[in-house]
Amino acid sequence: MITLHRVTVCLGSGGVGKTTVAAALALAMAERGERVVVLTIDPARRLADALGLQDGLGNEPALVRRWDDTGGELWATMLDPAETFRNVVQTESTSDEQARTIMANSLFTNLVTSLSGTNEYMAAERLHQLHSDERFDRVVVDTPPSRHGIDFLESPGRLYRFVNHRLYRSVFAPTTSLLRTVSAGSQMILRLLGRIVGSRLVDDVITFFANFQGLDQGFRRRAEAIEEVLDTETSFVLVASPRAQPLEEARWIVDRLKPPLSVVVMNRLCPVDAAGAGGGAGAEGGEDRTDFDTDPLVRNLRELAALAVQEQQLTDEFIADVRGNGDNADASTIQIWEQGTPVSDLDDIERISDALSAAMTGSGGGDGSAA
Amino acid sequence: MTAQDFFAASNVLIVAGKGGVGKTTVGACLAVAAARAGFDTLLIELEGFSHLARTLQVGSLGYEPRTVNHHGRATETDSSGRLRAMQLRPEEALADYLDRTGMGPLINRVSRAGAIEVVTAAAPGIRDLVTLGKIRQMEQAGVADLIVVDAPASGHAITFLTCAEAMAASSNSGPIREQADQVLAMLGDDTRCQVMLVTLPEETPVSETVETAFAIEDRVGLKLGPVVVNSVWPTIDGLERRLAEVGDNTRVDPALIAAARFRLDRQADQNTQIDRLARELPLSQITLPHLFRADMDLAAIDELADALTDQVDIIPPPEPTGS
Repeated sequence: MITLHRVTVCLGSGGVGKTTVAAALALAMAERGERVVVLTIDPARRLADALGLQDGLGNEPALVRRWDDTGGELWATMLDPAETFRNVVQTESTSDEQARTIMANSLFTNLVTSLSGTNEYMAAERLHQLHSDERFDRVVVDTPPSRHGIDFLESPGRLYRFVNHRLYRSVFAPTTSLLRTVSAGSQMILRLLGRIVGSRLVDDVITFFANFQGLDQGFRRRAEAIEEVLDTETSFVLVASPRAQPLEEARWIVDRLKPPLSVVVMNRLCPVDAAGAGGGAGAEGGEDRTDFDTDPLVRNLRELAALAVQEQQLTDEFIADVRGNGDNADASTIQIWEQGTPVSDLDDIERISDALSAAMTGSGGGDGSAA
Repeated sequence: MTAQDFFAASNVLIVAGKGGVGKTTVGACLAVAAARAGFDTLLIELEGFSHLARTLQVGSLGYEPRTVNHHGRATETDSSGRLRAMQLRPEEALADYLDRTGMGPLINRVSRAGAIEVVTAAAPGIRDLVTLGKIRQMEQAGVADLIVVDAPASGHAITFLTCAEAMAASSNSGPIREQADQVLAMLGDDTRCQVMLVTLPEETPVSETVETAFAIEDRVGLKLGPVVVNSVWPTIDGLERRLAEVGDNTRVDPALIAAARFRLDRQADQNTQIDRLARELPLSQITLPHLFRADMDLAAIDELADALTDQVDIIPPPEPTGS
């Protein structure tokens, strides 16, 4: 039986079905009578449709389904990093004027769209907001694909460190607001830098940082609050698929993840029984070997079974490695077999959520919720 | 067109796609196919995650190109058909560039003060720009007949390819601005550089590929080569007919029926996605087969390179652009 904290974060590389598993996990919890919100990052169209998420929905969670008998609720929301970032700046700015100036700077767009880790930071921000939202008992979070979600865990302090960089501090003395106070040493460094990247860019960067004056303490408080949730109230689920390259990426995640993993979901396994793959596949009239071997049904099963054998071997090796990695000795494993047709509605998500649910509650059918 | 024509069409092929679609495999397969067609080929990996070294069975990759023993006629002495691979990281590209422009000592002082960090944080395009700048420099120096670049995963691929434009807009002078202008000149010339997108015949990768393609053409003005649809399940002749024949025959092993249904469903969905891609993205398609392997090695790459070469043969020659 698996016990999960109030917040569950799903990690994994691209293409393994992380978003689907996050949605299925949330559905499994909601079916047990909890009020759950799933934060998705970039859901496939059909999954978004299945969850009732449309473009332009913004940051507001939408109710997907309610179970009147148990009081369970499934809510879904899609991350809007730019909107979240604007909210944070708006909240922490000392005045509307300051917020407007920050957002009007051309580098702000850069920061929102391409600073590595911005999406991760915004996902962490949203996690925190949803965690403090009284409408929800639990939060399930899908993570952005870059660096497979690990950045997410390192992200909360990022904005604070960014606006509180030592050069920035040396450029702007604590009490002042304008370039006059730039120290002689820093001036020289900036001039040299201007020779490489162009003086205009350096000026823009200085103005940009100057705009953030006074926001750093607010950013730090937020980062600490998020880190607290991640440290004490969060469970981690690794989603992987059984092929060599994704598993290499999954190992990379396991090596870097400091908190222990609660669950490893091996998703998209080839759906045939590897053991039944040999010659004795048992078609009708199996006595004629030539016919049997050329039967398209047999050929197909053999091809799939050969793949399933490789997948099972990679899976077993991987699970052994994960459990061998100190803190993860107790991680549970859930295997999910792929279907020929892709996930397209809540029923498909339900199939996966049933598998997760069975594993979470254990064979005794207990309640997997944690205090 | 012949493989010779195809690989001679430009000096640099940038391979881009969403994480998990097999972009690295396809990059390696293009490079092997080019080397087999007689081109001295350099394959460049930009991210540490791309497993290129393991796939190519070369130990590890670094800034110095290493020769790959593919099944062509590669030797250390004859550059025709040679395949080399390297890893290019922005830090090395930047250091290399500043050294070449005599700015090494300057940069040391600046970077000790943490200034580079601040500027690259506020203008992250600099890292991508120096990487593309290094690729351009190698292209101009003629270090290989063809350079194949395994680009960052697609969300980042667009930022990667638009970095020069963005930096040209925000930097008014200095070596970074020069780099930006030179890179833009390379990206805008289809005889020098083309982008090939890789996708899977699945919903999300296809949608993302269509979006990426339009973003790249609109924002970078880059020429897109054929789109590669990776891991397409090969058809088994007669499978559908046999499934219909056995029908509800209870003497037939249910595993055979379930496996056949799975495959036929899967192929039907793949076909739907391939058709949608053709409808939404007017580019030639190269399809590579699913190999029923959970791991890719050089033998698998070779097999895919065969398939790729066959497919290139049936791509119509490009229409004259009048330029």
